[in-house]
Amino acid sequence: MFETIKFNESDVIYKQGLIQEGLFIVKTGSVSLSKEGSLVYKQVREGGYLELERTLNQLPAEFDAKCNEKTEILYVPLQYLDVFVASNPLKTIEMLSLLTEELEVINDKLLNQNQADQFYSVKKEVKILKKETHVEIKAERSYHKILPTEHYKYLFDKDVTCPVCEIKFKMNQIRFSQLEIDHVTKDFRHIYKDIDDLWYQLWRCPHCHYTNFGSEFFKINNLVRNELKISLPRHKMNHDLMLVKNNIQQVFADIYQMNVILDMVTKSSFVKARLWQSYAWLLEDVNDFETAKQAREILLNYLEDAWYNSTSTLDPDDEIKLSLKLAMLSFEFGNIKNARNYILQGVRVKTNNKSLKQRAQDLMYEIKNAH
Amino acid sequence: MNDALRKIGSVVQFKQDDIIFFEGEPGDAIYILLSGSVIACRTSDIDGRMIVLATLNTGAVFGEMAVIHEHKRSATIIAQAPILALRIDKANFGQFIMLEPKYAINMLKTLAGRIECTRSRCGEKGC
Repeated sequence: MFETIKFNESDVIYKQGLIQEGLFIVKTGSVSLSKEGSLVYKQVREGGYLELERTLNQLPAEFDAKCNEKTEILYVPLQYLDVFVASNPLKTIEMLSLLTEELEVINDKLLNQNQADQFYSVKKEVKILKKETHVEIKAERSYHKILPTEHYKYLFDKDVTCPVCEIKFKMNQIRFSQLEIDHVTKDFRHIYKDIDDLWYQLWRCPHCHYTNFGSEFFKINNLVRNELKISLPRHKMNHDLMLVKNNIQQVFADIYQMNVILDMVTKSSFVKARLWQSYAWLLEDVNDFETAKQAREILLNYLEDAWYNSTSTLDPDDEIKLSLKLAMLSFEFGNIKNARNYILQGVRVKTNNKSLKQRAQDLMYEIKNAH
Repeated sequence: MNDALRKIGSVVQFKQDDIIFFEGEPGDAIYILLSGSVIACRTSDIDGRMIVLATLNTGAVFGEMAVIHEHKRSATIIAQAPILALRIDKANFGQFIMLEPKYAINMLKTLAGRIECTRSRCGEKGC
């Protein structure tokens, strides 16, 4: 009724366009799904399914399925699916789980698309200008996304004294002990349940508008302090004012302000990259994908600078993450040679973190197969 | 509906416009729609407007996404007309699959269909 089929390396299990009469479950080995023999879309490993939803919908296969190594496939004909489900409830729950996960991702995309036009007006522009010594953001565009009410549960106000103008003010601070991680994205963004920490990572003095990451806020030396004291304007302010962010536009305003003084407040390419990474992620949150791509290009420049010129020592996991990021970004911007070089160096780093190692190997395989 | 299924579930009824569950609530049960139809909606982040994701008719299973993933409800479900539904608590979900593989297959096919349908809507809108 259910058949285990053995394949050798490079064997083709099925070709794009054919309708499958049964489910393919990878028992051992791994299979690459690709289109017309070009870029590998996905690698399916032990326990995974080949194009599950298309098989269930009886739609033609979207990809060619080719074995990367010796592989065993459990073939379950659709006519015996009821027998398989009744005898394998855990496998069934796993299939349901995979499909719901996929549906959630697509529902989110659709919802975001429905909202895209409402987050900002495309008539107003954002320009990212690469100057000789710095990068300028000229933003006429305003983004409209209100503070999610769930954020309040995780916030408290913190008294801060500005290291530049010495005015006391209050900042919203996250109760990190209460944060619960939901998942980590492919590009290592930590997504927490009910709150987005990116809204609160930058602190901005309401008086002199000195802006920096909370973790870096007090790390400026006297020279920088004096320079900022002279160059930053003073603003009228209510000293009891608590800087509660209620719209994402305020988060962007902080990013723009920090970018203006970026070269003054830090020499670290890692900190600069962190700012541009946050900017790119937040732009994606408001569906401004075009500007996000430009921001990622700047991010790549800063990360490359950090990779080649930084004197900081990274722990092995961070080194792999950095090489993965560089490889992904280089790949995105069409520099396959650099992408291969970065990922190769990442794969060589010794680590006990198996999932990170696996990700590096998967990306290496994907880049290797790119034409 | 067979007796075994009645033992692990309970029949519930809702009036038109009743909310069966809200987006963001913990997922504590799945529902099989015995009669009537419901709509699945999500709230816009911007103005609180409801965006309809799908309409589900008699025989459909809903609420499974939060139960399977132990997530919060990803959508609000509203009765379009008076409905009857079989509610199966999260704790009985495994038993439900073993007892009624045909519903599990129905769920698999429904989910797969919803993925394709939403994907094609996404394609039309360029997302």
